[in-house]
Amino acid sequence: MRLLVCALLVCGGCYQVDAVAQNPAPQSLVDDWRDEIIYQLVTDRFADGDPNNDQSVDRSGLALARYQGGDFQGILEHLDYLEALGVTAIWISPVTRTVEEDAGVAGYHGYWPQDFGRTNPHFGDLAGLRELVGACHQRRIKVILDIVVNHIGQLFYYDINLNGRPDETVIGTGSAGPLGAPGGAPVGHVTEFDPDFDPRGVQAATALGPAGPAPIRWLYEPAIDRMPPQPALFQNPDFYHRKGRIIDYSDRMQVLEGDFPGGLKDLATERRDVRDALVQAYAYWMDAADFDGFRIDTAKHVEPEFFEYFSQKLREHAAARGKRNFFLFGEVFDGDDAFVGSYSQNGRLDSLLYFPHKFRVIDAVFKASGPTREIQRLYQERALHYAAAAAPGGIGLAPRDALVHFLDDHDVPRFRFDQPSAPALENALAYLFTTDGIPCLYYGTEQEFAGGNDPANRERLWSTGFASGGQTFRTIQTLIALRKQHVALRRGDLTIRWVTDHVGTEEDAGVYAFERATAEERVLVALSVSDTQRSHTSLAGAAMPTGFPPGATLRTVYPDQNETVTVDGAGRVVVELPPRVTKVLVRAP
Amino acid sequence: MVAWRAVTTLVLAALIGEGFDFGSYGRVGVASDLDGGPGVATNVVAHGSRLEEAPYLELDLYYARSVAPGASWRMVSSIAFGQNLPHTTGLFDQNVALRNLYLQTDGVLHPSLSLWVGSRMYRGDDIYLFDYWPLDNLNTVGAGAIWRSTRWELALHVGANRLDDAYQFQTVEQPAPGGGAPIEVVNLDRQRLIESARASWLGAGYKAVLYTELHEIGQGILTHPDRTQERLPDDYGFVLGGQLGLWGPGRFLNLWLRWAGGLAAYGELAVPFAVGADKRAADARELVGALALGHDWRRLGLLVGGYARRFEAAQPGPFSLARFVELMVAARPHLFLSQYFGVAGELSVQRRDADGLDPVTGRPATSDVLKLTAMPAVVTLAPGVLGRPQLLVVYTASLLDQGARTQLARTDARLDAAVIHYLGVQAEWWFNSAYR
Repeated sequence: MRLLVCALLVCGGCYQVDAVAQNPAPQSLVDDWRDEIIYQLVTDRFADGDPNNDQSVDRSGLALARYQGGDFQGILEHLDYLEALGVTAIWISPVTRTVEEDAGVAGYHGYWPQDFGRTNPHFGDLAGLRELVGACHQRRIKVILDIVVNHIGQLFYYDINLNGRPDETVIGTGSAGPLGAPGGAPVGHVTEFDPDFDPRGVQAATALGPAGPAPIRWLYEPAIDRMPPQPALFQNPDFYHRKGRIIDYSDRMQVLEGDFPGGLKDLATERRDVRDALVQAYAYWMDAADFDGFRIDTAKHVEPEFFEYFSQKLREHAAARGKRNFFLFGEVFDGDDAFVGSYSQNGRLDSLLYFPHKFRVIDAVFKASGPTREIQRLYQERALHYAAAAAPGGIGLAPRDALVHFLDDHDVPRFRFDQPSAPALENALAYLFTTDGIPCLYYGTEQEFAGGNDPANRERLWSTGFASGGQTFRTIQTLIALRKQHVALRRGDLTIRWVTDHVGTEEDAGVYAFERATAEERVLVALSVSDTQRSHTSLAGAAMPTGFPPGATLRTVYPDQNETVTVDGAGRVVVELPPRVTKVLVRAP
Repeated sequence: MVAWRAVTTLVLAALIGEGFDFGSYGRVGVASDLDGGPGVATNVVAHGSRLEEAPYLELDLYYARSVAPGASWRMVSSIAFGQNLPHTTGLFDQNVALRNLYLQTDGVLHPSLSLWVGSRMYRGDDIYLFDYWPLDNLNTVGAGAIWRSTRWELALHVGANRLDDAYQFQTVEQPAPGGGAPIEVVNLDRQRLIESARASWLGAGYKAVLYTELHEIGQGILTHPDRTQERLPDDYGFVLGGQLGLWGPGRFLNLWLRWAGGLAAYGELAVPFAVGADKRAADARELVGALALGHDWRRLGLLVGGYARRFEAAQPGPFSLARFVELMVAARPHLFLSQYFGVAGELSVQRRDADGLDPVTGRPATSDVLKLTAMPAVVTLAPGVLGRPQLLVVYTASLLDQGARTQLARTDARLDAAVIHYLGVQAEWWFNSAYR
């Protein structure tokens, strides 16, 4: 029998599945994560390589709350595109099987886990995933997996009225309100899928009054994968807080223990058995496809102490496999720098998506042409709020120095949505790729996408034909190449040289300048966020100090190489900055 | 079945007399899994053991007339009933299909020429043990011509189908011009055209067959429930193959080789279940090597069947569970203890190796099934190992490896059984069958 099989295989070419039959050998491709340029993509939106997994996709490209058809094969087929752009790491959306749809919205994003151990069939299977990661690694492109530890999908309901079926009820007469009589009953909507938060836990009630804690019941709808979670240990009701939906985000207890809106049932991550189950679930994925890091979704809704356990266990697991510098960064979607920074302490996470920077610098300064002094304030806070030492067993970098900077992502409107100016985008991109930390580019930025809030910001990339000739694509190519060429732009210390409160017609309005320096190299970046004012790095005759020696000639390497300036005898320099222009200067040989 | 008798269509003509005639193929039985449930087939290959097949009946009705010496015509109709018996389900209901409905003339325009038009099971020889036609097996509505000489037979055919599937046919609702209830209008209606040619070299005790098919389907537009439209491209397919048949008194051997591509790799009645990035089946391939052997000695008979099939769906990407190799080998010895009574057994091995990982285990999707069958009582009412009618008692023990078990649903009671049992009684017959 075996001989016959072999004969047939020879007839038609050998099958390759053995190459992906086992966990891949771990590769440690990263020396310093600051050298990496991350490209965040939504798998369902990047490229459709296999029409056979396009079940129930939206074919119009307009109903972005539904599956569009992107998959692992699509990414695999467009690695040339990513390489041409210059990115060195991709962050892909969660790969695990999710609830197919809920309330008319599809689980294309991957954040509604149902089975922690299997791939989402819309994207492909484990073999395809291993093939994708392996192909990326061959090109030295690292792959970061988006994971969820805060919740599962809407897989159970609270049987509040103890009738054994999920109910959604409209109550009240509506006699209260603008058109009704004072003191009347408002119209309310009660749902057993997603009831409001109750600190006691969601309570059962009958017509006669309270009836104790509401039992939960697992839903059983195979057609949409709304099934009890897998592995089966996640079917333990005690794994969940069972307190209902967050209704007050200022209440930290609700944020930590409430269900994420949409009925995403909150895991009791303070429990040791839950933590172990999650470690086991994601250690599996680390092994199964040799990912290079995890981006952790909704970390804000998980107590920071969880990560002291979770991250350490994963780091130990990676070390045991011989995987170095496995990257763990989290999403703490909040503008409070101290709060976000708390997730970096005590070895919790290697890094964070730098949301305070997104709100206070990208939005307030680069989008809105606000005072650049805000950047300095944030950097001063950063020094206090983020861990200054690397996590033991982590990536070898202090979180403070390895924050993930981004202009936008899948949860916020794209940069161009409310700032359509092309020079403003170029200005922000130049800053992103020259400042410190780890730059992260959201897919479609290179194609000048301008979508608004979720899901409008999750456009199909293939609608562009993967063109690589557009202005923004070429700008990003140039900036990435510049960052790769200059070690100081990747690893150098950052010294702020010029900030201003001026945003009008003052001579330095909108100016921001900083230096990045290593022992070998020093780079000066000067830019203006003003949309109208021609500014310079000087005010009232006081030019900008630098770290360059007096008399040194500086040459621009971006946007072109035609300009030189000379450092004066006091080590100062004046850089002329037309509106929204960024200049990167190095010492001329 | 009866592979050494049904050598050419001339044989069928010879079997049918003038006027009305009647033929049939049928099998019926009942079986238990010895655990309170019905006995069911357990296979990991496309064509498993015939012994576990569900009840099926064909009633063939013929009418033939001679119009001149050596010239005749005949009408052939076959009514088929499948699977559900009212005495099993309690429902007075049945799946019925008209599997033959054609008229054939023989020797009317030329002594060597037969012509036919109609709906027809248009087939060559099969592997009886698996109920499988490895080379030529078309179900088509069309027309054909057969030219016969002493040593040659050339059969040409062209037919079409239009499956009642959204791949080929769709109606959508539109407002009625005059208002009122909406009307159904045809939105997609595309035929698959199939042409085939078969050349047979006939000798004393042997035949050699060359066979080919072409399939074509035009493009179409499919409208989805959200009113978006999907372009379905045109597509093509082909089959090339050959057969060598040897027979003599009480024995036969058939060898087949089939190579199919594109649409034809999936079969003429199948919708391509995996397509390429351009939504065409063009890259699909099927390669089949098969054999069937039968031998009768005085008290002993033997049937052997086997095939190896490599199928590659047109799916993009390096790995796919729809790319696989499957192997099936079975041998059935039959000991005649008296003229009508005997015992038999069957040993079969089936294996499937897919070029993908099992979604449950994450391991290469390979599966094996070993079947040991005992037929302790076989009543055969005609001589030979393929003599029919036949009554028999069947017991099969199926041993599945882990890979085969993962193909069962998680709730399948057989999932954890060390051995899957099948104990049943069966009857099978054929006479004057019009299966070709």
